[in-house]
Amino acid sequence: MQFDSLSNFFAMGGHGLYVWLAYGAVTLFLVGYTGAMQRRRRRIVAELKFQVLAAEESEANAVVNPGLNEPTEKPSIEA
Amino acid sequence: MALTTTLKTFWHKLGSPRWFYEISGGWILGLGLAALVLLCFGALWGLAFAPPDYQQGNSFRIIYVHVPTAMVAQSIYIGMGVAGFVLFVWRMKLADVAIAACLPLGMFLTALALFTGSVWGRPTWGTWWDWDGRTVSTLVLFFLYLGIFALRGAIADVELRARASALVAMVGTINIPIIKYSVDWWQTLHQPSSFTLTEKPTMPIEMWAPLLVMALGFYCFAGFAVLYQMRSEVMVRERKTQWVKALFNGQKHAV
Repeated sequence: MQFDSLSNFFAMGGHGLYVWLAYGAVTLFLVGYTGAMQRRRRRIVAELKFQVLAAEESEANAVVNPGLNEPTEKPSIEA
Repeated sequence: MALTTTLKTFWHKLGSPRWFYEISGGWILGLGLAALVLLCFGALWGLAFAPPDYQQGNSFRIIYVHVPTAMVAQSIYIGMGVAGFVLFVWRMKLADVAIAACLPLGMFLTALALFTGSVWGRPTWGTWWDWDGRTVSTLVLFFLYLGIFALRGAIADVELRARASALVAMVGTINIPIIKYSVDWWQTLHQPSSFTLTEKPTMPIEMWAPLLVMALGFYCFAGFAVLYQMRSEVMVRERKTQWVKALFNGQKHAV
C-alpha cells in the first residue's frame, strides 16, 4: 500500500483530480456500455418473442375463424 | 493433417450464424467474468499498490487505463480490417456482423484513450492537448471509426453497406503502424512505448505487472462486448429463420 490514509489515497499527491477523472470516465464507460448492450438484447428478445407469438396466434385464428387476421403492428428492431 | 481438417471445419462452421450463436454463449460468460476480476484487481493494484513514478508522481497511475484502452482500440480496428478482408474474399455473413459489433466499442475506447491521455497530459506536459504524432494519429483512428459509423448509417442497402464499411476498415489499417511508430518518427511530447506485449518492458515489474493485468482485462472485456453484440445482431438478422423462431417457441428459458 502506497498511501497511509484514505484521504491521501483520494488526494493522489495533488493529482487526485486527474487520476479520478480518468478512472471515473473509464468506469462509467465499462458499466454504461455493458448496461446498454443488455438493454438492447432485452429489447430484441422481447420484440422477437412478440412477433413469434403474434404469428402463432394468427395461424391459430386462421384455422378457427378465417378472414379475421389483420397484420399486427410490429415495432421495428433495426438498431 | 488432422489440424488442417479441424481448421477447415472451423472455417466452414464460422459461415453459419446459427453455429456461432450456439457456441458463443459460454464464451461470453467466461470472458465477462474474467474481465470483471482482472479489471477490479488490476485497478486496485495500480491505484493503491504500484509505486509512484519518481518524476510524475501519482498522475502516472493513469497509465493503467490509458495504455490498455489505446491498445485495445487499435486491436479492434485491426480486427475490423481482418473482418473486412474476410467479407471481401469469402463473402462471409458473420464478418459484417463482427464489423457492426466492433465499431461502437472501438469508437468509445479511442475516445477514452484520447480523454485519459489528455487528463494525463495536463499535469505532465502542462497542456490538455498537443499536435504531437501519437495524439494526431490516434485522433485519425477516432475519425476512421466515426467515418465508418456515419457510412453505415447513410447506406440503407445491406450488401452495399457491408462492402463499403469493409473497404474503409481495410484501408484504414494503414493508420495502425503509423500510430505505433509515431513516437519514434516524431519525437515530440508523447513518451515512447514503455510497455508492449512482445518486448521487455522498460519499467520495473512492480509498475508493469498491474499494467499487464489491466491490458488482459480490457482484452477480455472487448471479447465479451464484441461477442455479446454479435449475438444480438445475429438474432436480428436471422429473425426470419426457423432456428431463431424456435428460440421463442414457448420456451421462455431458452434465451
